[in-house]
Amino acid sequence: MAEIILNGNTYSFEKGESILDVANRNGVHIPTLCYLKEITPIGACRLCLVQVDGAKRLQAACVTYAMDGMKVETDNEYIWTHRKQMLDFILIKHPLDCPVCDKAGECMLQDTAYEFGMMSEKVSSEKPQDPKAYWNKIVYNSNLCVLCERCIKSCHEMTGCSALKMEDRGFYNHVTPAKGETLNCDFCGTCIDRCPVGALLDTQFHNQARVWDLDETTTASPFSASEGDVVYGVLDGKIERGKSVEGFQISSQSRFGFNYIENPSRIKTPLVKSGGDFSPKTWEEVISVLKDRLAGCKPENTAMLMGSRLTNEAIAAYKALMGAVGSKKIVTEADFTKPAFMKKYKEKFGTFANIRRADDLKKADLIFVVGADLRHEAVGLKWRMMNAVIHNDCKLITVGLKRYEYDVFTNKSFLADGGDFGGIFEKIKTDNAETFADVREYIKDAKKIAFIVGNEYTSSCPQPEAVLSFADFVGKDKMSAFLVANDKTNIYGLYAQELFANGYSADELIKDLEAKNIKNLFLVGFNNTYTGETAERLNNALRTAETVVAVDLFNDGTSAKANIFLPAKAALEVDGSFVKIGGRLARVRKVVDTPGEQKSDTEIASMLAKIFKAEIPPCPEEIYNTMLAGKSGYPEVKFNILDSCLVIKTEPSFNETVYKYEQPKSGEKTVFVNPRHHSGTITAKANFTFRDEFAVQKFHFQQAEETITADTCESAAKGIKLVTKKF
Amino acid sequence: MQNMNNNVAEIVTVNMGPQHPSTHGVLRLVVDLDGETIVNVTPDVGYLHRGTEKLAENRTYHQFIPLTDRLDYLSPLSNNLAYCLAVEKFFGVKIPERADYMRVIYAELARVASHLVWIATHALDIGAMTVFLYAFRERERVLDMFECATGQRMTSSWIRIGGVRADAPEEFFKLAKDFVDEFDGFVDLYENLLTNNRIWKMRTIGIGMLNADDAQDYGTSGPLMRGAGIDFDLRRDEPYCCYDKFQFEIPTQPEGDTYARYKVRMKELREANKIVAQALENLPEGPIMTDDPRVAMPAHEDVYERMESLIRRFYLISKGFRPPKGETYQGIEAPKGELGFYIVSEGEERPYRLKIRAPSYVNLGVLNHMAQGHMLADLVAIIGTNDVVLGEIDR
Repeated sequence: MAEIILNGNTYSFEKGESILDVANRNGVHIPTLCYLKEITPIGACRLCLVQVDGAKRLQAACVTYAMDGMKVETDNEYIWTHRKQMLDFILIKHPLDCPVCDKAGECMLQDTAYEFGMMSEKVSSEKPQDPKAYWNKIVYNSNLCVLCERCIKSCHEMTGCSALKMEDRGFYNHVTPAKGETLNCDFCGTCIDRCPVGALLDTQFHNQARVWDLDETTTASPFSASEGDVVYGVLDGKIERGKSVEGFQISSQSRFGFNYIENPSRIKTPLVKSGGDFSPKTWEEVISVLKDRLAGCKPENTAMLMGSRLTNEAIAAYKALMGAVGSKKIVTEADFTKPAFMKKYKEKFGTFANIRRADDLKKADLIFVVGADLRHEAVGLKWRMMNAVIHNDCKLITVGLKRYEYDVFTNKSFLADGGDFGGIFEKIKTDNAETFADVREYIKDAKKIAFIVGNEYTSSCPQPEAVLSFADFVGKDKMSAFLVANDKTNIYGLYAQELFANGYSADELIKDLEAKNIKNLFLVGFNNTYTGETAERLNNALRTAETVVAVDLFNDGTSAKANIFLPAKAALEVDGSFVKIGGRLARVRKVVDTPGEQKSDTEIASMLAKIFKAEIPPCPEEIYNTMLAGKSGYPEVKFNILDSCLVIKTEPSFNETVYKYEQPKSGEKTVFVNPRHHSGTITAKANFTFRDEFAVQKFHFQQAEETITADTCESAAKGIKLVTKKF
Repeated sequence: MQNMNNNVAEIVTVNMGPQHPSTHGVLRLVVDLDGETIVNVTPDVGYLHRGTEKLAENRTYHQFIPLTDRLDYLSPLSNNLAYCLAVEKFFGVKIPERADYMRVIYAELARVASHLVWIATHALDIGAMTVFLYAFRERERVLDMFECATGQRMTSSWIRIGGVRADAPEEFFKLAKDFVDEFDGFVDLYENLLTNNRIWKMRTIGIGMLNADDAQDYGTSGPLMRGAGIDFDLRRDEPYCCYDKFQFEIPTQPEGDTYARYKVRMKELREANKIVAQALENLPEGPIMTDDPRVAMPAHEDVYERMESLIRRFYLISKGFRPPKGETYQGIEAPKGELGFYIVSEGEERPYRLKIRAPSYVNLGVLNHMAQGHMLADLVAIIGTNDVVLGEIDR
């Protein structure tokens, strides 16, 4: 057993661990500045110096491997003099910006300087005064940079964008975008969170508030299903900034887009349409209107369209409402999201939930990304995939309609011309060309193979079961995870409560509507931003219903067709839970109060249920405890102990997929790529005001419409037209 | 109940205060009288309560210093000193010599200022208005000195944890030197007016008796105790700061009446003056703030020019230092008696509990005992000799 002696005490260690790893594991304190657990150690700050017996000079503990029999001292006068000298060097050139720097209060340099007991510097020096660099939502102040390289490494290893690099040497050393004048990346803001000083800052939060004045609440992201929880800082009832939970990452919408709740077009009072225009009403008035209009409500003429912005408790409440009416006619967004593929998926795996967790991607040896532009469809999966590629030596194979920005890491990149994904899989199975033989080698060598399937595949491949059959080829024992890239806020909550394939499909609803069978229609959180024939027909058919009650935040889009509009609280204003990709049950916590008289979805469901003489509790805690706990895989615990770490239980099977490859018909296919497949509507609403006048590109909050074909873009597949849809 | 004339007594309860020119602040006394004779005095305090001890639980140690000023507001620098010594005890901070000497100078000048108010108001209540004007004339000089050194006449918060806020300018030392040279003459003046004055003697001798046993039982301290004959002074017997470097006498009088206490305090004025003179003469050069990195607030000029100082100041002010877990007590000889701070720390940047042992609060407990059998007019003299200040009592 390999052992190392720290300060006279013996500890065991595994091969490959550094001295710092051993020390951290056993509670021996060694100060650090540039060290970050999630990335490979850097060794730039030299604050972790330790004395190793036999070595003439002090060694940096983070980059020195522990060796059997090594004797290490971490805490004596000699070491501390040198550590202080190292910190002194950093402080000599650090401008006296604490009073105006946003980072003050959570600055590692401040904390370390105080901990070391630094009293004064040995030499005085002129402080650098270079201008700040504004890169859209991120601002870089090279004067404050301590050159720890955390940002570069975390962008390279955690996010996979590799958007930053070091430039110039000596005193001129600074961080700069890797390509071009300004940053072109996901803007996930991981570099902002990991920067130990105030060198990289959030332009939107710049100079808005002091961090110790903020009340911080951790909540599940209201935007996408593949990212970690977000910590929102609130001052005087207004959200000032979003930050990731330590050790996790969040997307640019969660970080910068929270002000959608303050959009002036947010509806604050109930509205009733009379003579073509909405007029505001009080809640009492609208309830009496509803009582009149829903008086003759029968099960066969009442239907509900449920959206993915709802929390699990809201979904349960609305389900119970329809139960009170007696109607089973519920159609959800799941019906519009890859419906054909998900049916085949269920046949194979016995469940709609993802197979294994998103974090299982990190441990994979080989990842197939099939028709998924992860940057737009599920950016959280992309990060985990890049993690695996860089840390785990994972092989990456993409089969898609275009090449992606992480091309430099892919081992094989196949273009499915004309949507012929099936053809590529057949070639991998049998073709003798070297490139396909290589793939077979990878499959043979790998022990953990993961699949990610996305919109490009499901929109263009005529046989959705192609990739499922390919999973058979890989083998049940080797397949470690199968994830469907779907970033809608709580789409997995809709699947989990058995609302997809519940016996009533979108087609049937449209038929009912076109036949004028539906008199009362509830649109709860439902926004038809989908493409395709079904979605088009639905939009046209909606006007046939007599009473359309919409419950949402904004009354444009599908809700504009309603005649009664009930304003709902946003996810940031309620308590509840979401189901994230991989089945994680994330806790939603209230961050701010609503700006008007909106009510939460559960309260609205409770109010509507009273019209039908039924009781639904308006409080999310009660709903979870009575209606969700222990059912459909939800953990059987009390709501108040949910902490975003529990998982929805699923027991997947692995059935053989029946499939025979057929060559697809020729002819150009149009595929709609919706940037940010999550609740893109609320991202668009975050667009209304900008605190940063230096934003060059509004990224994600304002996207350009473009069409990509093989003629205009050489990284696109042939026979395919990729059209960006604007919200 | 029988009164002096052996008639059946009728007790009349009279309210005195809280607004009353002779109660030295917002002190309310409920006096039970039999004719003109006092049967019982019940002090009713709390009219100046500001919740200081509770406020301490929500402030960093550094933020609490201005609240100490407002306790005994007649000698603010003493209160600062008591508090800072208590906090420094947590860390075992070594105070530089010059800071110690400056602290002593400020504390003794505060004693002078406080006693000057005492003699002025005590005499005024008894009827000698002239003394009031003379004493306040000298007090103005002391306040001028404070303003010169600290920028504030009264609540200056100048003594900080680890030393003193900043060094005093040349002007201060000049003013102080002039003052100590002349002050003895002024005390002579007051004594000439009062000490052998027939009316004064008749109003103060035998009034407000407090013998040594009772003084000890009631827990009194300061001139009240020394006027009863107990020879105890924290500066000599449990020295703090650098009082052990100075030569001074501790005046005591055995009689235990108002006149005795008057003599004790007049002597204290002279002794305080002596201490200040000695301190000024032997004042060493050096820094006025410790360099212990745990508590020291960096010098103001450094904060603008050095990174470490800026970080240190930022950290100490926005987050505050954290003393180790434990409790501490430090008492000093304040002008009114023993002023002590008892602080319990849980290792946080705010104290868990901060208790102020206010001398006037304890001394006020003796008021009833001292007033028994005297007449209402004497009560005014007794309050004056008790030398209470409501800022301390009520906190």
